Amino acid sequence: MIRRFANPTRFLALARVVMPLAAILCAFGFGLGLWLALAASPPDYQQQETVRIMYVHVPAAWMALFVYTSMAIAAITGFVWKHVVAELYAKAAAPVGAAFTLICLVTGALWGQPMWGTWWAWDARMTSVLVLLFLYLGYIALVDAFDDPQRGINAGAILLIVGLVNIPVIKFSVDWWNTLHQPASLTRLDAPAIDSTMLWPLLTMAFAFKMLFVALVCLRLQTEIMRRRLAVRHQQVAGEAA
Amino acid sequence: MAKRLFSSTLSFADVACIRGNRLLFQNFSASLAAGGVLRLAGANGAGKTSLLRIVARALPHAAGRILWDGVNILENENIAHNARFAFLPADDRDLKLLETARENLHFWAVLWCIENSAAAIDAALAAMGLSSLADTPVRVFSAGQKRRLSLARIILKQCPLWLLDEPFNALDDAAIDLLSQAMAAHLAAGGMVMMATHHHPDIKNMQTAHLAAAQVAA
Amino acid sequence: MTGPLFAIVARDLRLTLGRGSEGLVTVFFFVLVVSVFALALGGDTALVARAAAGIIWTAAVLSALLTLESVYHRDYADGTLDLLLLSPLSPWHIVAAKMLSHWLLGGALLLPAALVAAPLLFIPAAALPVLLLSLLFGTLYLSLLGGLGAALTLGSRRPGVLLVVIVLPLYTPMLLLGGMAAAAALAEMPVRPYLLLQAALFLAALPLAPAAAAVSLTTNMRSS
Repeated sequence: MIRRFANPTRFLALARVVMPLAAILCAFGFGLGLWLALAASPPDYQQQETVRIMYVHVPAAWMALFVYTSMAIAAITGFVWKHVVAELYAKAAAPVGAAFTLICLVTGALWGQPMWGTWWAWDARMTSVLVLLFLYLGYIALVDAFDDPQRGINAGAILLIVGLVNIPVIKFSVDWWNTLHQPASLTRLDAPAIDSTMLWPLLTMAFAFKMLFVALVCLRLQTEIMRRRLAVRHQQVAGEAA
Repeated sequence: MAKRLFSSTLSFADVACIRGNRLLFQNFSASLAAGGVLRLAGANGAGKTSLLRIVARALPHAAGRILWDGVNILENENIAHNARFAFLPADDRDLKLLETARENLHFWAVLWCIENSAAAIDAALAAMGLSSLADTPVRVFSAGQKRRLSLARIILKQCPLWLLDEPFNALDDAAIDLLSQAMAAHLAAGGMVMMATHHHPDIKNMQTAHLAAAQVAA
Repeated sequence: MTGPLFAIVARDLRLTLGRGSEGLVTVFFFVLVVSVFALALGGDTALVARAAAGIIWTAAVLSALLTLESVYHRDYADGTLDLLLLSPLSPWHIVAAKMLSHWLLGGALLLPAALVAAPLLFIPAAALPVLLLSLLFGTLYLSLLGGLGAALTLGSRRPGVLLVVIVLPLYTPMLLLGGMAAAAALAEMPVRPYLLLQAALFLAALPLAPAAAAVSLTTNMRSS
């Protein structure tokens, strides 16, 4: 019994330090990053001011894939070694990851409108990201669908591992489908060597996004662990009363 | 006298069970030799069914060992263990109502690779007094008849260990006699029985273990 | 191992078909969805013909997914699945048998149903062999993924809807390949690469999906 709770306790101690630190770094990162992105960096010679959407869009896209991968790895860890915090991590990270994916899609649409003249196109990248959002939402729906939370976490872990195996297949099939089926009217923005005036704001924003993620996940994990302890406590009280 | 078919032994050492966040029982120790019966008693929710399911490895154990002929069955995932026991659930919902009694048993005979299945099915049905109902759809069976069919399935498996959850449920006196006779024949053949029940069946050398929350039993 | 495996399949078929119309409902649903699509498109011949491949695939996927619940959920609810898992047959074989049952009761019935639907969508006869072969791989793959989805959702609050929500995203590659194969066939272009990739997806999932579903079923039983 003690072994089962030792781990979360150590995590809670860690989280009490990491969470505020990540929150401060996140605020600092967004402050600096947004200033660099919106004011200090030059507009693109082709896209003019709209290029600034990239500073939100691209880090969100990076996070979308990173979070899903990390969830699947945590699922494997939790499943194989019965690591309690790893089991809870995927559940805590999923809505945050889904939100990043949604931000990526929405900013993509906002960027697409002035650039391509359309909010949405079944282009390879956008389609892949949309399927990724579906994977996130499917996972969230599955995890929440059981009366016993542990069963949801177990089922979700298997779904994540299957999803991870599928992501390269999805990516490949969508890319191939896209090259065959899309008219070449959408001029793709090939990224040539990105200029350092754009690279620094981008990296700063990516850092801020990551810190935001760390802070939010710490908070959600703390809440989840507290909620579980409360459930245990309620059961004990009911047991003593009986 | 029936010939001895089985000679295995089963013993429990300090088995504990946790469901959800509740400790159901711990330090459960007992041992069964060929021909032994262990009756599990205790209040509802004391973990009788859970213990049966742990032996069937349908539920994880929290601590302890269960030794089959001296080998711990909880350690390695050996599917062959499933051939050693027959499990009777507490209810008979799984019987397929559209099928006859014989068809229900036939499915499991094929699944368990029972040799000479037609004769074995007839014998099992006869043992539980269901011969005349063999070709009747289960849809029209009474609760007691369904229970007897489930018990016939246990006999059909011809394996050393019977794990019975509330075997006497819904049985009338005549059926209880049939079950006692079937159980006696199984024990005489060297089989073992573990059952969770509130009944006090009249069986020689029956051990009784009282399961109670977080308490040493047997 | 084949005896017990086919015993499970045979019993599933007998029990489902014994209930009378249950097998036919799948086919009926498929033809109905196809008709609704065509009607919603205004019955415009050119438009319907262009959308034909997409309509057939959408209808096939939805009808096959509908069948999943009856194949898995009934045995779960009445405790048969538990007893099956306590038999000496390995969980992999049990799940594989269930997946085969599902395909025979869902996908296999849709192939002749697609023949019936083809004229409604103005699909030329020359494209039919490719379409059927493509649907063959597509429905087999769906039975594998669907069985996994069913195993994951057993015991949940709304297994039916949940199943569709988690299986469809994973099904995207097969759907795209099927659409491409159909489009190529209609345009009289080479179809081999698409069919080969569809076959490859099916073969890759053949051992993996039952393995993942078996893990899920065992975990599910041990935590229920």
